[in-house]
Amino acid sequence: MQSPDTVVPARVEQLLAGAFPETQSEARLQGLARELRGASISSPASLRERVGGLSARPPRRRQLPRKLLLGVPVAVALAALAAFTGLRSQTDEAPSGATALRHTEREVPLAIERDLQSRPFRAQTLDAGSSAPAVPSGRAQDVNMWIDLRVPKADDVSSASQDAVRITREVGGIVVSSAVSTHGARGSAQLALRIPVGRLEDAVFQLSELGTVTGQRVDTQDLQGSLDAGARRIERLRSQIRIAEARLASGTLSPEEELTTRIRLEHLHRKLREARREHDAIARRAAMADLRLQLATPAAGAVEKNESGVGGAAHRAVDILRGAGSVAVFAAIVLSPLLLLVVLAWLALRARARRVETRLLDERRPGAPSPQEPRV
Amino acid sequence: MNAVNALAQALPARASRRPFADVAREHLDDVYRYLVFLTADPALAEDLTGETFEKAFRSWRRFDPRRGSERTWLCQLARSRALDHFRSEARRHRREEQAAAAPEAPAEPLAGEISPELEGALRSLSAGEREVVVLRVVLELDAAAAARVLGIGRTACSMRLARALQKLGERMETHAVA
Repeated sequence: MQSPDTVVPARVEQLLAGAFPETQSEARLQGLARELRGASISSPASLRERVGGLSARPPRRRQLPRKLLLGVPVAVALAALAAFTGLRSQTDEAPSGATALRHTEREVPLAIERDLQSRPFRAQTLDAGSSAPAVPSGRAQDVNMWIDLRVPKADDVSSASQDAVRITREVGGIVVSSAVSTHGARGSAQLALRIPVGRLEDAVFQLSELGTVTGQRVDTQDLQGSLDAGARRIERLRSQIRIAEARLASGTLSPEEELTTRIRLEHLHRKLREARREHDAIARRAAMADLRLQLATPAAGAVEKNESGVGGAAHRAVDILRGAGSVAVFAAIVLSPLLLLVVLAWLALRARARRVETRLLDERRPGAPSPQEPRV
Repeated sequence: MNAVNALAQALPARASRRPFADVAREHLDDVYRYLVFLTADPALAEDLTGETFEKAFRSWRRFDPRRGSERTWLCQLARSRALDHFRSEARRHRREEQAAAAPEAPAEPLAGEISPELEGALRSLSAGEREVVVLRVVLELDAAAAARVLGIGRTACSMRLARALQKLGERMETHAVA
């Protein structure tokens, strides 16, 4: 319940602005304001002298701007982070087993070589004459590779495609499919190749020479386990067949037992053929790598990359900026929880400071009489 | 003409900065008056005013007129300096237990041409109440500028002023009766 003498804040504002008072309390409030405004409080001469002398002092040495003080540590931290992440990417090793590796554009040829060299398997050949194809020492793996190349002109798409076919045949591979299309200045081609694993490194090196590598990916899947299991199954079946044949040859079987054994022998032979087929298929997968080659002209409006001169420098600058952007995004992701904590801490500290400030101002200052004991 | 005004607004704050000596001369009394009311101690207010202007002189390069007037900025500095003083005083009082029992020195009058009743009533208010009164009534800052100095919203500032004036009126009556 508001007291009849209470003047609402909006009315106080009006009264201070010169509104005519309508009640006694309003008149009293306006009178108070008038008296306060009429108070002659001027600074003492000593204070005037002190403040006046300030401007006569020599200007202070120029300090570093606050933004610079904040910016330098942030820049150093970012640079350190960039150096750290760069170092990590260099020391990363190719993982074994089923892997999917992605490399940046500039690193591609070297990265492919390194990746292939690090593989523990070597060339595998099919031995059609033997029941179980010979698997060379080292682990068998299913290798799938994608290479994206950029060529400058549409004409280069078809010539590069022909070169890719030639290279594939030279290394003993086969072209599974190819599709070449050109439209005006733009063109693209997709080739599905199967390359003998033993010549894969050589083939990739030659294919990457056909244009500028814009992307590549290598997927590998370990097949050695399946291959070993298949070989064990074949050996087991062969052993069972030998036992069955020995029983038949002994001549001690009754007519019923002989019939049953012959049926079982036929069944074992059928199983053995199936096991060999499966084993051969796995060996074939391990012997050839699938390589999908994509050739394309630059996108419309894209700046032609030039490795030398101003264009090359601009291209490198863009690369650096891209790297810095990645580092910035990474740093933002890593630092955002920390930043949130800092903001929350700052808000809490500010609220506390505000409470302390209010308490300080609400306290009666020493020397001031209390309301109950007015100083007269 | 509009383009000229827009250009003038876009210019760096430094371009529209006056010499510090002129600013100090113009606003010294206002800052002193503010601190007299805030501290209720003219001698302390004199010290704090001097320190405020020393700080202002050192920070003058950072003053941005787009964020408030010179007077508002100086009052903010003065308030900050006064709060620092209050904090250190509070710490000192906590350390010195006998401070509570120390006899109070006779208070110096706040200003001439103020009735004893009003002065007594003013002294009985808290520093927080006195400061809103001096900013809005004595220095005649508008609600936005006063709120900026106090670090609160405009509505809260108006509310605080109304309560302080209400209390001041009531205390005056008490003093008059006494």
